[in-house]
Amino acid sequence: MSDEQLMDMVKKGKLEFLSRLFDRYHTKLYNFFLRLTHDASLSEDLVQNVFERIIKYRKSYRGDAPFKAWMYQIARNVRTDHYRLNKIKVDDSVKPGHLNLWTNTHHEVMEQQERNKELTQAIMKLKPEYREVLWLGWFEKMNYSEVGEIMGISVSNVKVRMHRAIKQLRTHYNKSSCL
Amino acid sequence: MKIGEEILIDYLSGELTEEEALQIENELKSSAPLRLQLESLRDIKKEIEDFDLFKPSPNLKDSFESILNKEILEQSSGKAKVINLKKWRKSIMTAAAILVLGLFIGLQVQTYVVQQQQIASIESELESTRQQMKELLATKSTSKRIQAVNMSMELPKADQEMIDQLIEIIHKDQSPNVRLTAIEAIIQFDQSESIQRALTSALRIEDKPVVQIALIHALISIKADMAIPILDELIEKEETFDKVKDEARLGKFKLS
Repeated sequence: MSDEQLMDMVKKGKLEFLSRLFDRYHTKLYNFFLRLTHDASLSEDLVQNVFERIIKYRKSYRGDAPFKAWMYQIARNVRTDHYRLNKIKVDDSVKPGHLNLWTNTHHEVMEQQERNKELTQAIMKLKPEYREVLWLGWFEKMNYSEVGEIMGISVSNVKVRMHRAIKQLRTHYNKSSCL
Repeated sequence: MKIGEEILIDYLSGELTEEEALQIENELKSSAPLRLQLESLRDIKKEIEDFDLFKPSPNLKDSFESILNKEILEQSSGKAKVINLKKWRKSIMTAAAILVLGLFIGLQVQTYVVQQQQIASIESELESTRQQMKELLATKSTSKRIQAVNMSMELPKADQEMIDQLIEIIHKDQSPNVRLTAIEAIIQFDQSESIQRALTSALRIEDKPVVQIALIHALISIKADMAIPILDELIEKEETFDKVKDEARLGKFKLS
């Protein structure tokens, strides 16, 4: 079943179908938040909040809209609300010098992640809005129009952010095999 | 068309028209540096697409399932069922009281016995729920503790042991979500001076703004004027978040 068919069932009251959407997306959402907040525990809380909101607002889901875009819109709102409530500027959420995803909580995946480490750290040096564009555009393979809808910005603005994101990424990411 | 990095990025993102894409492809055939530039961008894109993802802890799935099951239960039986259960219990208690009175005025003894058995059965069910909650609260799983605290809110009353466990959670649990749920639960059971003291001392040590605000709201709702000195401390402390200071000022005003 497609995401949209599953969400349609959830909307009609068959809540158990949400488990399949959770299985499909919770790890991706967790990584989306992790790359934005750099906090494993907070990222789990935010993923949980996203699915709580999906349950709460299931009836407002428009069947013709892609589920993934709707979910990421909720994810962005959840994150914004978190920072608003805690009076933290989103830009301050990741402190320079604190860019270490490979903390004690992730020893078990350290080796597996090692090859991504350099690229991830380069991405973490970008502004949050550039990280989001990269994640949605290139990781989630959404087109500029979908990314713009999720982020509430125009397509040309997405384009500018994507160009700047890649340019800055290339500056931080000095992998000789690639560049 | 002058082909720069921006156009190559749009090309890789599939954002060019067919005509534009064709132009790029023709240019690529004759320009080695352009091909190199495209390959380097394609490599980055590929690495991003192939990211190894960090796995969240199993608690996340447990917690989601607990929330979903609760919602499914509420949907199938309706919140009203929980309320009705309480009402039902009260009704049975009332019915039993009437029957006890009925004994004295000569009503059937057999009916009275049946009613007493029903009450005993409900009491036994409540005791079993309490026991189950105590076991969940004793586990190390965050999601199970949330589940236990949520279960506690469906009970008409809590015993002292359960209250003590909730107080301990509010003071010591590592998860702000569990602490928040426990705060919500405890004030529905008990608003005595000992609970006021417990919440006041929790506010003294709490460092998460969202939980601080929940504690202030709880203290206001149970009219805990003993918390005023702590509210003063929060207002004075430089590191207290502005929003918390605002809530503390409002709390002080309401409790004074």
